[in-house]
Amino acid sequence: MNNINTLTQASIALKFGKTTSVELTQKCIQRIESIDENIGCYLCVDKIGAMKQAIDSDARRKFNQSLGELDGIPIGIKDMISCKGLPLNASSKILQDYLASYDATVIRNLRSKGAVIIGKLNQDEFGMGSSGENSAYKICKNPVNLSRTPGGSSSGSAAAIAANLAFGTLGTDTGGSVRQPAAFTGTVGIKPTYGRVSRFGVIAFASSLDQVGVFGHKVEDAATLLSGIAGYDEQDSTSIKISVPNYNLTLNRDIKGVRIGIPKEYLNKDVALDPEVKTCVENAISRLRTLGAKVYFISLPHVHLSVAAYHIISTAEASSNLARYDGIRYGPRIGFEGGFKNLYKETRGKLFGAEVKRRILLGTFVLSASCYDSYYIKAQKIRSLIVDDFRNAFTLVDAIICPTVPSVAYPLGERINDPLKMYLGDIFTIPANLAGLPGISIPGGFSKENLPIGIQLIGRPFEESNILNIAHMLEKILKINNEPVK
Amino acid sequence: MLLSAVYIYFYCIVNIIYDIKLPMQISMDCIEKIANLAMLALSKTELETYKKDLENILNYVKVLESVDTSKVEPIRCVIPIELNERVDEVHEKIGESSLRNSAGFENNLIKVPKII
Amino acid sequence: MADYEVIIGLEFHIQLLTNSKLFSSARNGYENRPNTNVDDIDIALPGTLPVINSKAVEFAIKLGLALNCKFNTTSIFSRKHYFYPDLPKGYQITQHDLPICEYGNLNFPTKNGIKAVEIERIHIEEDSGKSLHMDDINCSYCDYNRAGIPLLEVVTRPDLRSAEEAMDVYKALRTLVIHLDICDGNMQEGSIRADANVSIRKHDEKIFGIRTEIKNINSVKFLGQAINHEFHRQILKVESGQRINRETRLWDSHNKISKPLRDKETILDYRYFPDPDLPPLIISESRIRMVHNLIQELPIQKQIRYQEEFQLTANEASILISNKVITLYFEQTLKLYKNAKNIANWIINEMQLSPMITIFQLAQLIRLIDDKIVTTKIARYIYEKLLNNQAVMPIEIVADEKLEIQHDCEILQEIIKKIIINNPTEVQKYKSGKTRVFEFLMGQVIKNTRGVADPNMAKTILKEYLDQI
Repeated sequence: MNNINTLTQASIALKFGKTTSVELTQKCIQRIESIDENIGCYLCVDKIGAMKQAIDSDARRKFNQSLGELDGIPIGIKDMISCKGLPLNASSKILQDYLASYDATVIRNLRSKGAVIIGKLNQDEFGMGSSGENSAYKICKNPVNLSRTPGGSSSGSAAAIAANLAFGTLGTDTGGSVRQPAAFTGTVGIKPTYGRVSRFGVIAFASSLDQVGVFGHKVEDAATLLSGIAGYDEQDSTSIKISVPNYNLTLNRDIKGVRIGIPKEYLNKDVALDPEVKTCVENAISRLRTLGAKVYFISLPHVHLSVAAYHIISTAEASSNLARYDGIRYGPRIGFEGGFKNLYKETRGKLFGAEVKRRILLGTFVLSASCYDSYYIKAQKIRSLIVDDFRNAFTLVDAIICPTVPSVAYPLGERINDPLKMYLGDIFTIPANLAGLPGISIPGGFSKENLPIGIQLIGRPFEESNILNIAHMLEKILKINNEPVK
Repeated sequence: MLLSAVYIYFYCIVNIIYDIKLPMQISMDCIEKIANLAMLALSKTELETYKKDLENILNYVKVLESVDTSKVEPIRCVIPIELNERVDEVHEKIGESSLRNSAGFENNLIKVPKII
Repeated sequence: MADYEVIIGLEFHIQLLTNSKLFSSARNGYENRPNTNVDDIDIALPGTLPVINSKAVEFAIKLGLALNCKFNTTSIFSRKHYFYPDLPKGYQITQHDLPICEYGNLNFPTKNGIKAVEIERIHIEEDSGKSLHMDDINCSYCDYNRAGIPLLEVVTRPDLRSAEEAMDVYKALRTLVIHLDICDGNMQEGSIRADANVSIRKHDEKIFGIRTEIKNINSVKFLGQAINHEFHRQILKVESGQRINRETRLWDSHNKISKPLRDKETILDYRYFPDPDLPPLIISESRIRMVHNLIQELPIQKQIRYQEEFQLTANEASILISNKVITLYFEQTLKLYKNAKNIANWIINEMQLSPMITIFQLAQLIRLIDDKIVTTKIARYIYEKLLNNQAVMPIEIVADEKLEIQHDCEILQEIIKKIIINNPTEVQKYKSGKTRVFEFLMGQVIKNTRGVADPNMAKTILKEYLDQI
């Protein structure tokens, strides 16, 4: 691909006529056709549609009507985001052969900026999973090391960047599903503040936690892509009316005097933190100090309750959001002959995957009349406390730093039969979802086995600029070299 | 379902009063009832597996009881906003009905098994 | 039987007259062709989200004010889960823990005067689609036109003690929502549906008995039948030593019985929780005041005013307020001419509640009668001529056809003399005691005067002359 690997590089190359959108798109598609079989990033590639968009983009550029930085850039979209005319499966059999009939707002935003939608990316079914192994269609592997998981649920979105099969990708993050795979694949992934990006057209997993996030090679790429999709949407009642700043403008701001906090609870002995990950984060902290940042210990007293609260709330909401999948108005149906209850039970029982069913059962349980107060209400109260913890912490610091994941990418198959162990891998990412805060993961280094380690920064609501800035400065000073994967 | 409800209440009360950490248990009957409520046809093996999984997870989430939340309000909206209202205008969908793609689409209706 | 009293609480579902649906912009309207008023949101396509219709909120505030409710500044939307083919999302968006208003009352007219029933709550929710069961034994069909239509659910406290009271409440609420312009009150189309919660207890007991819920009632008559049927059914059961089951029953208006809807064992667990797609609804005092200013005199207030100010009977008043078009017609006519009693009488009895002449024509017509310019009989004749002829006024017809009451004594005397001369047989009959012949002779007077003879004067003169013979 010469030296056009990142979104920013591609954007500049297009601007200065060094390449065309058609060339970029063609190369992307060719690369997908030659290597994706071994990785499993894409569930579908829209060759014809993408080429048409590329041709249109080049035509616009020819007449000086370029729509901006994203015009002509091939972008991959996580399967559960609705793109009109393309399959919308959420990597599940229950939506097999279902084609989206409308564009999600984020897709409309991308199209209005001229981005080229290459295809739909593999994921864990309905966003449930942290390893890419819960896709009903095929497993997605980590391009950095094919025996390892790329993380999840936005597995294909992260892997596509690592393998250079797109210049930018969209994912969704409910408990870490953008940041964790970014960490495992050595890419940059950002989850915005809750309400920053529209959820309209994004298949709902847990409505009070879901946000569309973006992946890129570098922080500046993620910043550009985030600018392209963020903004108020009147079709989403949980979308917030705050204007979107130009995130790229403030990337290089001096971070001297910026206060950064380390949650002391994360250094507790009971947190199973891989020592290499710990060292990596410590290294990042000392680098930040050299840039003039002030680092303090802060306390998030209730943060150890996050995973428990999250699994009650997210499964409750998921069991509700997935109630509509019954084969009646769309999707395949099984068991018509046995009566309408049979149609529901067979269709859902046979076409939902194991992890999805597990979560639906748990969610149904915690919402049932006798359990509602002791589980769901309790969890929402704990959530209140966690939100307060962060609010208090942010009176002392401007950003929080911590590992993205307690470990590096583990081998495929290692945790698939141990749901609880899988869930505990999200211990550092979940709190930001519970509190609705923006979080970004950037590559911080490598383990002895050459596996990427992710560093996470969490910011105040709507202060994406701030964490992007710190992340960018950290990224520059860390100089992590991510070789393009062959 | 009533029996399991009774068990759960008893279980919670015992935990709170006596601070005994009873291992969380769900009966087969309970898991079947939940599967019914969630409209999921599950094989016996699946039911056994999920029963154990749920027990493990519910045991794990017991940690929430360690915090007194009697004076805490459950969170209503993670970013505090008011409900946005839409002007009462009709916007008809242009083009074909999305229902055309349903497996049960027949004469502009959706065919389902007989509802008694 | 006389030992027991029936306890009734009612729940109403009122379809609102908004242009679009509650959470989508699809058309809200009665439609014969199935699945034509459906939006992606209504059929729960993956990724769709609800956005609330402000008009529905306004209508809820209107009804809450009319029912004297206390408003919850913050109210919450909840999800009510159950699986049914006509419920696309697998849950209904409703208000469970915190409805928009609570604790109000509805004053309603009955044959024994004006009573009141307490309103427990009013909340906003969406309607479900419809399942059609045609002849096919193997399948049913779903039509989602109704899915997502805005509803207001009104729940009364179990204050009612007879089927008649319940029927009166149904009537009064229907009249009210029509007057408020929030519902068309069309019962056949299901615009205002009722569920009855019925229990029984002996007169000396204080505790309420187990209640059953009867659904699928869409007429006042059926409500009365269903309640009475349930009252008897429960008494029979209790008297034979059985317990009443807490269950839901469907009213079968054809066979006039109710049938259990669900298994007795299955108590549905709706798993209510606050809908995370919808932040809390905040209603400000100023918004409530603004809506308040839009509300005109309520039907029950008119009922009272018509009786007190115009001395109309309770029945006359209730007939006039039962139809909004008639109420308007009556009140507009009243602005032109002040005799409410006579106008009311004409609208109810002569027009049979079908206003076919303009308010100007009606006002003038009644005045002509009151001023004794025409007789009632002539007025009816004039009315026939005015039908569908808006251009002409009654007074013109009177002038053209010389329809004024003939007050002139001398002219009447002349005519009556002639009649007496021309009807000797009848006169003879009268003189020999057959007083009924008088009517015939009067009839002749009327005929010969083309109906304009002053009836009293004519009677007096005729009698006088007959007596003189």
